[in-house]
Amino acid sequence: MKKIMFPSVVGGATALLLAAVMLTGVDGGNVAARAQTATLSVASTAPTAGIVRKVARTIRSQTGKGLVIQDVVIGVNRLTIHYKATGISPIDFSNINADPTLAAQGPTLLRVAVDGRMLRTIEGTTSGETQSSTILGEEVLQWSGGVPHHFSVVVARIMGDRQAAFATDFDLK
Amino acid sequence: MRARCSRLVLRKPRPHSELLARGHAYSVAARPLLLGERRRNVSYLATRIRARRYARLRRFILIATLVLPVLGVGANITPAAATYHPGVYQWHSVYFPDGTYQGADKNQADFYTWSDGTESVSNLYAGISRGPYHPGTFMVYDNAWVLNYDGSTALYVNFYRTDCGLYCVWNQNIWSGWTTVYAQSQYSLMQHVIYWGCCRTASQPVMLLNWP
Repeated sequence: MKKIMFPSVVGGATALLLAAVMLTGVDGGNVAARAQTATLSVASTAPTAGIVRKVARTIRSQTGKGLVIQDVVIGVNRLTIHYKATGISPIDFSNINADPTLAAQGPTLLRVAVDGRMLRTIEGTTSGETQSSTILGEEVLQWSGGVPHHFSVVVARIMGDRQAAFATDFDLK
Repeated sequence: MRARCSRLVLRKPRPHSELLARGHAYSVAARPLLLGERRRNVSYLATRIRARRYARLRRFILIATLVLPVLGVGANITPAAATYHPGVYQWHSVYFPDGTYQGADKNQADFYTWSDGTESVSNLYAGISRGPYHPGTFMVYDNAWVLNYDGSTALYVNFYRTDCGLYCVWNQNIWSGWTTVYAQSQYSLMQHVIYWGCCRTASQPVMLLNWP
């Protein structure tokens, strides 16, 4: 029972916070953000809301790492891809910015085109356990609505592991 | 004969007044105390009984404390099966609406899952790694908390980390200890709030609020 306040309900708080940022600058914005805590701390996003379409596409890289694209969730203004990757060697979180490419593009990079059109990433999440090389990932992409058909997914790296590189195409059934 | 025996055995104790009448010249309450003797009235006896009872209890606890660990008893007091999950983490990358990477934050926790459905959480780690874009942006780590699975709060960590600038990395243990999470329904283990603000242009300021 996740409490959903994003983005519409949070919009009011966002506007307040934004106004504070514009008026007072960055430091003042922090203060404003802190002031909004009581309102926003009970909220959480529901990025996976939508119609779930099973994909179950399995790919193996030349280096022996595996990727399973589990499903795609079609929302009103976003598409969410859920995947599982095996054999991943994540970099230390503190070292992300030691690599200029990772600092600029992030530790995980997926490029997704749907029906020939590149989609912008809104947010991405990777989760796992430090003693395991298996991670679960979620990539949230901007979507203008409608029914997507053909997906082209290129994974450049996962959690800084450049050997976790995959490319695949699939159609939603 | 039978009536006589019955009379001998079952005779009631004579009342105090009768004893006095038969020549007992003092009452029990009025008897003078001997040297070193304490008056043993009702409250004194009650105190002695309680003291003796507590002594027995203390002795039992002492013996149990010494003997039970030797026998291995107590291993089954905790829930029968536990699975340790060290370093369960989540990295969360955030992007601007134009698709450029803004930064990442990290949540991490160590916890046990018990066979009775509870979880014992021992550590919380937090991190922020900012990208190089949009100098006017800021990011705040605010208030991690651990939720029970029904959504109620098991632990609230009042931890606030202000903006640390572009390319900055901040990564640390923000809480150590133990708290118990009660499982009732599907819910995430840990949540926190990150505020990402940016004003890309004066005419089109954009604000993102994200939390896993």
